[in-house]
Amino acid sequence: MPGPADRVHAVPDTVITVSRRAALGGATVAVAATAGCQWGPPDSVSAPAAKRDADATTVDHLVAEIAAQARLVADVATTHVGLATALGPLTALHRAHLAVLTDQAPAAPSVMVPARPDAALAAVRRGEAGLQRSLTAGARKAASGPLARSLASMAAGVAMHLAAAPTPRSASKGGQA
Amino acid sequence: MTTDLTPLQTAVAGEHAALWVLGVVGAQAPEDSTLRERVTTAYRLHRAQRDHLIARITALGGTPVPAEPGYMLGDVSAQTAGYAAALEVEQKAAAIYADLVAHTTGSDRSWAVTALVECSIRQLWFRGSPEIFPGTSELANR
Repeated sequence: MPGPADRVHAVPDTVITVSRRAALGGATVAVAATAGCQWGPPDSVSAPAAKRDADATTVDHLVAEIAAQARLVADVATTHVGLATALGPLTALHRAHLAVLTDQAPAAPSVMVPARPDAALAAVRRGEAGLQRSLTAGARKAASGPLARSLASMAAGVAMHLAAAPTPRSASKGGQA
Repeated sequence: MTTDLTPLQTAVAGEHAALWVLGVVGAQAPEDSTLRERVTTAYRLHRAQRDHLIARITALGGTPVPAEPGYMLGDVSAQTAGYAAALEVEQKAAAIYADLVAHTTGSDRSWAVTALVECSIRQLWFRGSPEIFPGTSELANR
């Protein structure tokens, strides 16, 4: 039975069906080459070598930022166990995003976790908002179209999780460590 | 600068369909209901997106694709069905804008990124759950 909005899908289909590698286009050449990975089909929105290098640098920076934010979330969840369940979706989000961007996520150093749960949660939310801005900026400047699409989707995913994440007020009501 | 009008035309066709569906859902939602309020807001936002796309295609020398006379839609008289239809609209719009991101550069891409993020957040208005890769099902399903 057709879905309620199937005509939305009936418009010309331009969905890019690509493998993980192709989704990143040439952007992660430097990253994956060091891991000896195979590459998928060439990026349909091909970019000159210099721009591919710029994309690889962008991906490197984003991987480091996501890993750092993932570490903050983990440390907050460990310090404030009352927040652990609420932060679980963010942990899954970061893990999935890193898996698309790199074969081996870097180990981020521990961070200072605020003593109060509401302050810790506020720090997490600030970090997620910053990560959303970085992913958005990466999508805007990527030379590779598929990479831009992937980063924009990740930015949207962070935005959705941030909108659904607990706020410091709700944490101080029910999320005490 | 975008040179290929096809992805913009795809997006405007999607917005025509989105507006049609949201119009029907909104008309059948109970007055003063949360669904009516949210669908009305979503309708206005999608109309603004459609108008932007039409203006952009026109500025690039193209003729925007017109809306279809009608679209397929199941019974949305029950609020649960209305929520589901509105959610599906936003999910499909997110996919369309994710593709527009891939096929554009410059200001067109920036606009598409914003549209993707906004469609994704609106999924939460219609009882959707946060997604890890909104608009890019192959990344979510790999």
